[in-house]
Amino acid sequence: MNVNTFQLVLLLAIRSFWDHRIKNLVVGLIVFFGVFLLVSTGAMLDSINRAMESSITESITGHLQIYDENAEDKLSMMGLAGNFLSKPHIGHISDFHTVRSLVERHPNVKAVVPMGTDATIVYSGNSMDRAVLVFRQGYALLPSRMSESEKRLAMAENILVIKRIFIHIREEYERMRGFSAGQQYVNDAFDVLDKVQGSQFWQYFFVDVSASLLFLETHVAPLIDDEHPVFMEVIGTDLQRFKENFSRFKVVKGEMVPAGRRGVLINDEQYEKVIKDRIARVFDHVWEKRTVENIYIKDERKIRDYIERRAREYKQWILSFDSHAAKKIEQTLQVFLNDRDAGLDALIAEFLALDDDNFLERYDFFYQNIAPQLKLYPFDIGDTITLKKFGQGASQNVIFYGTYQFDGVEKSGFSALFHLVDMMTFRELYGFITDEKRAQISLLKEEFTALEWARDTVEEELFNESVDFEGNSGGQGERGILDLNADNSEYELDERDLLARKEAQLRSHFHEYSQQEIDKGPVISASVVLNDVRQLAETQKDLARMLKDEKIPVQITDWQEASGYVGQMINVMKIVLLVFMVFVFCVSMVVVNNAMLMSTMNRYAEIGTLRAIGAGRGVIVAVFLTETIILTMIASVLGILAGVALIEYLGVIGIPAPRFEFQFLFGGRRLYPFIEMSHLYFGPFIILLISIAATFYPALLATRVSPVVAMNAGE
Amino acid sequence: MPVNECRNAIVVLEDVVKNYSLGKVNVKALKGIDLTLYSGEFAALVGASGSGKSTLLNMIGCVDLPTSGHVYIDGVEIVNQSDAALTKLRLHKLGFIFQSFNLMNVLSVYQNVELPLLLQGGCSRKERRIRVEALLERVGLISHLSHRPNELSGGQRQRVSIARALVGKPKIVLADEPTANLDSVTGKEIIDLMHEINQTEHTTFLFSTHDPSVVSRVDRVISIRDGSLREEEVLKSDAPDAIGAESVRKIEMP
Repeated sequence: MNVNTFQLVLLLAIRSFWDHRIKNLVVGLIVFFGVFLLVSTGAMLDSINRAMESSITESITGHLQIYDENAEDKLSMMGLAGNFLSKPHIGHISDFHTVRSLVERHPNVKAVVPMGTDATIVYSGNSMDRAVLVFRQGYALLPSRMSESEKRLAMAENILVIKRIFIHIREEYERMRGFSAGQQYVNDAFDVLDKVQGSQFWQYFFVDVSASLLFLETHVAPLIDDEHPVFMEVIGTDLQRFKENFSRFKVVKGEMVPAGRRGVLINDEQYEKVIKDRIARVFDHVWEKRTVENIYIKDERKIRDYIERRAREYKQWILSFDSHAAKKIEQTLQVFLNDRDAGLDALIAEFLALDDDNFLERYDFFYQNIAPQLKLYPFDIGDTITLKKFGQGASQNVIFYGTYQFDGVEKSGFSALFHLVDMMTFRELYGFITDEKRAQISLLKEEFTALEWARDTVEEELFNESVDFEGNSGGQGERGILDLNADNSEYELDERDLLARKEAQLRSHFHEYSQQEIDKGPVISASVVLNDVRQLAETQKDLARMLKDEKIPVQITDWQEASGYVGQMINVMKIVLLVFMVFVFCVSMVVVNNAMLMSTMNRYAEIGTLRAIGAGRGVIVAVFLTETIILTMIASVLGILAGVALIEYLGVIGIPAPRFEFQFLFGGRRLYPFIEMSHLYFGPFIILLISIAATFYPALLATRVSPVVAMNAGE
Repeated sequence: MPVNECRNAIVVLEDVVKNYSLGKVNVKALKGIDLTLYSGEFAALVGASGSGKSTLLNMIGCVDLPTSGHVYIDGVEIVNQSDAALTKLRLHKLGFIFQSFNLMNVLSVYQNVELPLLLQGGCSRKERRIRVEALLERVGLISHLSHRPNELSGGQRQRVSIARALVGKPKIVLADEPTANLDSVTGKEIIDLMHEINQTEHTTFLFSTHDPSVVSRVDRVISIRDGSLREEEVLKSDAPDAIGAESVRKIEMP
């Protein structure tokens, strides 16, 4: 094709623009929206990616993670969530200190923080456990010179509480017998209940109080499932360094674990939404819906269902009251609900019938009059709680110093999954035997040689404290009841052993560990925080080489991979988007193709004439393609402008997270999307290819138009 | 060809047969045509509709190929030529005037006329301008250069067509019922213009028509009926004598 022909083609293409305005409008709109969609979604995805990066790297993973080279599975900081049963084998780094001192030499490394995640359960105890605890505390205060009957009288109220729980449990199991008769566990439950509700149990109760209480804890308490154990995913880390390097970390209630001390920080969101008293949570939830989201009870069926479901459980809730609280609550409710004769059950049931009209009044009443009588949280700040390793039974008692949140993403489900525990506790929980632990064990060995402790498995027994505790206590409890006159020396030994260990643990609670102690030892992974994120890939390569040169058997991965499925989510989103795009493209290709085809048919005479006059097939194809390219370019520019305008606008006002879960993706309460040059090429390029492809067939058809057509054409 | 052996034969048809299949019916459009057109002729192809005159014109115009027989355009056999070669042939050796004018409405009068030159390439802008303007002058539309075809009357449009057909200096101009869409006065003017050009520039014209008033103005009438040439008449004793006195001639009928 010569220059003159090209000139002609261009002329025809441009001049034909208006003549084929319908086709051009259809194709132009599709191209416009296609480009607009690609540009804006591309920018949105990148923005979300960046926001997520900030959510993840500033809260949990850091930018890079170093972990065991021989790990069988990939490190996945968040991958554990909801996956308690199949824990990945990610190995460990045997000495954090060497890794840290090496990696910190790199100029782009800001800090290296030791890390590890583990699944644990916190048993906060149930109503029986609590009743026993209150009993123990009260009983310990009684003067030892009291006679048994005096003691019995002094503890009468506590005994009443315990007996009331028996009645409730029996009711529950009677009901259960209805549909699961013959089940062994139901029969067992009745055996236990018969035992404790029988006269013998109370007759001998004060002969060996400890054994009796132990029996209640180990045999009766498990019959009640009114306090579900709290599943907690913990991150074990150097808390101080964590605080310094993860900018979203913030203590909400209580205080930071003092430097070098053992301690746990509970995620504030989970403390409020999962751990807190269940009825208090109902009030909180409805309150939050109403004041924050402006959604009323009548508006949403989910809220009504939630209230109803919880209200039905009021009997269990009442069981958690101690007798004094129950009395007080009953009195105030009688006045509040103006029903002097009603019992506590009826009053509570009535009180929990919430609607939009009575809610505010009852909310105030709840927090002013009922809440002060209750223990709103199974463990309060300052309490020592027991973290039990999931599945294996190793457990650690640790002081709960306060609650924390990751700023901006505090309400998103993901970050609320984690609680923070100090490295020393974590190591023991995870099963690393530390020097300290070894020393403690040998010390204990020494202290108790006098007691002729001669078990081969002492180390293991000590290590798995809970197994030890549970495994033995059941048997002894039973002995306490059934064989009260038997020799109790072995039992006493265990009791003393427990005390000694408690003592040791108490000591460790207030021990201040040096940085060296924290650093020296195994960790699951090392989290690397960088100065300049843009150099992530290069730094990752450098570090990998440095570690390899030193023959440290570790591998290094970036945050996206390390965060497990959460980090991969962006990829999933990209794939979903891609599939969607392909679908949209196919549809638009069909539409564009059709529009072109229609327009080709309308142009048969024109094409025929050109062909007759002496235009070759190439000229015809060129005319069509040129028209498409011009149209696509104009529509693309408009599409780009619209996309840029939208993203720039959203970048200023921000997109509010539609649900709390989105905070994680949005990197905070609002997503501020941004647009970069790189977002502008891809879309128009793809669209251009598509429209050219869509033009190809109609153009091909056009070339087949015979010049004869021109002869027969009417005007 | 006794009389005109010395003259250049522009178009030669030898035993041209064209069959169409119209659905299941086989239509014999041309039944063995032999025809020669000479340089400088001003010839009319007459016949009723369906007689095969359009088909014959299509053969000569290289937009359709015969089922059998031979077609030579300026000595080149068109059967077995590629599409590209035929296109080139049309571009350089043939000019077309259509019944419905077939101008590009998106282009101006000037651009329409210039179009074949652009396709041919090789002309400078200035050369093109001189040629286009000369032709538009010739057809009397020099003042309408920048008009769009749809701003012109039918007659004016056909004049543009004529200019476009001539601009590439073709060996022969083919016109398919050039006056069919025009009133009789305008039709006459168009034939006059074509004839005048034929006389002055010696451009060869072949046009189909069924208008008797047109037939009376041509040098040679080629009559076709049912796919066969019936007779040929030459009646132009009163026409300006470009061909000479012996232009009265007889061609052997098959």
